[in-house]
Amino acid sequence: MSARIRTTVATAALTAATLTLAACAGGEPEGDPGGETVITCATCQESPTDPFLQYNFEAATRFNEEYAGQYRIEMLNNANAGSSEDRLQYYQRLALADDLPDLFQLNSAEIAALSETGTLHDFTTELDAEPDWADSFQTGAFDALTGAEGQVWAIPQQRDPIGTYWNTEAWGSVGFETFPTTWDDFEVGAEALAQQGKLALALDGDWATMLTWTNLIGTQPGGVDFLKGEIGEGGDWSGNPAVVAATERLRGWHTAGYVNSDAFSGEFSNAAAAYLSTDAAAVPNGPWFVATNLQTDAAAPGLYDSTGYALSPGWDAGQGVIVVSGAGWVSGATDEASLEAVGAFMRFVTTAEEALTQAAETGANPAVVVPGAELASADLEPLSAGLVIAAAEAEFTYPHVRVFGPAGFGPAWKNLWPAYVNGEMDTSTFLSRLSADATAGA
Amino acid sequence: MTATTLRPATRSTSTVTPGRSVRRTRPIWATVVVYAFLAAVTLASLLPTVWVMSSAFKTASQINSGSGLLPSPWTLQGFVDAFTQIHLHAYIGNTVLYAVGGTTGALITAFLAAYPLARYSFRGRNALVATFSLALAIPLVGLATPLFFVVRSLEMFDSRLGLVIFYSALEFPFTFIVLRSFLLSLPGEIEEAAIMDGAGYLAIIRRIVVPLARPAIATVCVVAFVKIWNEFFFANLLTVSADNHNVQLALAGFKSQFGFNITGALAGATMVMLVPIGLFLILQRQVIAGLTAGAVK
Amino acid sequence: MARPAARPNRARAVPTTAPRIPRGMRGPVLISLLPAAVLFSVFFAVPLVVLVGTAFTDWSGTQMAFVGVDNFARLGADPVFAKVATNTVFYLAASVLVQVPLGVAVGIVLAMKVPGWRALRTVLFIPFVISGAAYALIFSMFYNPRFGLLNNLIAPLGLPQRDWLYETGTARWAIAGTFVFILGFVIVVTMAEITSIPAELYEAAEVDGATGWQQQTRITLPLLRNAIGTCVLIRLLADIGMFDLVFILTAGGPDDATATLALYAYRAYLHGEWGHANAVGLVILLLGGALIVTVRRVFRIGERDR
Repeated sequence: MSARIRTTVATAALTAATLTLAACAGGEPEGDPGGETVITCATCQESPTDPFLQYNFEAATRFNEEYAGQYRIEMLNNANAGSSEDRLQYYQRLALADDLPDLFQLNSAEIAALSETGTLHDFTTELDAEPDWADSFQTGAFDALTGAEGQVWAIPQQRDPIGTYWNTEAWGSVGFETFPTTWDDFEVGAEALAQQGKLALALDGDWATMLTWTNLIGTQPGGVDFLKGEIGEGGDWSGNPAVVAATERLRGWHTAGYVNSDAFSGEFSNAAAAYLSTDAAAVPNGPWFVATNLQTDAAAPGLYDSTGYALSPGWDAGQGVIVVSGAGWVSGATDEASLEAVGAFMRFVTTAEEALTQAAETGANPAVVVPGAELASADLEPLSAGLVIAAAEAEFTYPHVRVFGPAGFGPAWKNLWPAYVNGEMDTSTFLSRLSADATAGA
Repeated sequence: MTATTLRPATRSTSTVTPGRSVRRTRPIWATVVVYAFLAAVTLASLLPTVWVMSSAFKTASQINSGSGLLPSPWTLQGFVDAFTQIHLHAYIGNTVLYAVGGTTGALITAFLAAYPLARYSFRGRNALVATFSLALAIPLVGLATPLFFVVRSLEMFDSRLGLVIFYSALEFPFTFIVLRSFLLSLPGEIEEAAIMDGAGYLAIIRRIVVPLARPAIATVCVVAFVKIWNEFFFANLLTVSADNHNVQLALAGFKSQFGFNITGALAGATMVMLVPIGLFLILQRQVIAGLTAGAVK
Repeated sequence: MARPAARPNRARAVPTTAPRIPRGMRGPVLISLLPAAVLFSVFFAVPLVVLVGTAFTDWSGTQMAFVGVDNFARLGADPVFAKVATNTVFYLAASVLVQVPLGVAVGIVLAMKVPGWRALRTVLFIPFVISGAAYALIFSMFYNPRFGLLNNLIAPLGLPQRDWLYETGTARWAIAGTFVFILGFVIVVTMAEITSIPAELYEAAEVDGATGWQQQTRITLPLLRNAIGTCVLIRLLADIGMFDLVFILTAGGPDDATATLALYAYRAYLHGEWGHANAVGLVILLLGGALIVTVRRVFRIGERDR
């Protein structure tokens, strides 16, 4: 008994000591600003796994050096910086607490949702004051970032084509030296792969599944119009023939066994695992997939070398590609001094030099116009660079469903899609409920 | 009120119940049935956990292929990655701060309240005890939004100090009830001499009551520590920055990252689980006594 | 109230005549009650008042308007609310009908001091100190249809391979499967209660020629009424606010098949519909109160019968 108590007291003393240490270590470094304007950035943290965050971190560091004494960016550590699933909720809750960071990145659907609840800064004044700067952006770069009354909620960060990574050896074994260019061919190959006990496509019930759904819609006549407009207008999507056809075709692949059985959790890691273990022969994702997955230990040996990056197959009128132009820098700053610093950083990251650095590090295509020769010499990741060139040839170019879709799209999809594939509801019910729930959750 | 095991050592806790051990020779089939039942229950309770813990020593490709129950080859890479890539130490630091701070806060508050409410009679005493105890009966998730509102109004949202104070409050009712029932069971005359000598209130608590209450204090401390260590709901509700996240939020967030490091995540989860498990194994009697006494998880 | 006790009757050594506060100590006593009063008021009393008050309003966190019982009418009309309420009851039933009986059975067996009982009691208590978030990660692996252990184990038996967590038919059962085998608490409470049963009862039964099985069912089980009632009450109160596992594992899907009342309230909170969220919160609290009263009646907790 008493020995036990002694142990307990010793444990308590030890933990108390640890507390003191932790409390000291946890102290906020409140340096003396000394006339320096300090702004917070919630998407500028160092990250070994996310090249975009890593680039932001380095850019902010360079900015801090260049503007030392004048502006300084304080990098917040944000667990939701890179993952799209929880990101909106995170900022919505900060907005509820009236505590949005001065700088962070969002996609356009999230921007639309947040502009209603929070206090996002409108960049119109800055852009109007500097026409040269405004003209340096690619055509249409602001399309998805503009509000109903012409407000510019964000400064675009990238303009990324998103394709499909495919295992050349697996597809080669069923007679495809290049990735199928039509969905019919894709299904022929998928059937042959299934005979070998392999899966054609790795999906996750969320991001990767939506990418595929987007491709199936976007490569049909009228599909691009849906993805750029109708999807955000609050109507019932079950009446759109392109959407119905895409939805049913995608469901068919699940029931035919072309897709991994764990494709409903909403965790991209499930899709990644299926592809990286070579169980599945293709997975849709953006350029960051290379650094975060393909080149890690989780990938089967030699998989990077046998991986190709392709455009989306089409129905019969040509191939397509998703271009994510939606992501951009937004600001929750309200006071003059902070906004001045935010503006300075926005100009800094959109210089040609920084845009090229970002392209080299992330594989992302810049949002500002950069001379082709410079882009070619930037030594981009070969897989991504190849897609950027191929994307120019694509018949259809369209945004991801999340760009113009309602903000509640993700949770609604994740909730309903497994039940639909499982045969719990018909296509019309699924699409009606999806369009209703996605809007209600906004 | 319970806390039989928490009574001062007037009665040995290992009351040997006479004749309750195997009284008769059981037929062999009965023994087989009993152990088959126990084996099945043990497997159902622990197999998934043990399998995942052993997977923490596997390579990512072995996990993804689902082959083999045991690691082959063995690797400690996940345990390295848990710190170098997932930064588990930062979350552990926060959680230790919350658990130690919250436990300390709850202990001090509860002791200061439990002592007079157990040892002296005055008007309103019973009403106060009933009110404090009522808090244990409330399913607190129902109060999520008002709690968020209160915490935000006090500017304690997404703040480490705020969470420490909140956890002090969260563990207060349980700590209070267990401590008070213990103090009630102490003989009535312990403070008399000290009061005669004119000792002050705090001096009586510090020199006489606290030393006697050590077993109960140890019990509530370890239970509150484990409960705060494992807490997810309010950590999720009341913090947003990764800087302020505890280990449970880190666990929940592992899978949603694009560059999901499965071995690192499983190794991290294993280490996070081993803290309460280790505390339980070392201080088994206190944990069991505390949990059955307060009887709320 | 909820100070559920294995043996409420015997442990109550309340000094019936506690001394009055000595003169000169009134001040210190008041001061020492202050921190508790403040913490309790701020984090329990005020939120409770806010909850009850705003459950009848349309409140977004900034603007507020009184709407009477509209929030509750909306709950009644929402098929999703009916679904999450049913799910919550399903989880409560899983605890009461599986977890508690199984734990009591194991407790009785271990209390017979079968060889190895001490080690088994320790081992079976371990799941109780593992967090919900850790359990979520464990079971997301365990149930995974492609590389998870469950499908691998049942494949040789010829049982169907399923995506347990994301098929509407199995999702709820899969969630229940994560917690019904957490038996440690029930086992320990049961065993503690058994040690207080007088040995003479068994000796008398033995003389009368009762078998071991008869002794357990006719003596032990009825005398465990208080302990079982306590376990039922504790599990119900814990599970009525079930959130962590469902939130992390399935986010309530597929098609809300696993969502709970707590998750429903949390969604309303996230959408800024705080009045609506608090109406759900009030439902949870009232349901909790009703369960406490009912279980205490049914099990006659606190009453002596021997």
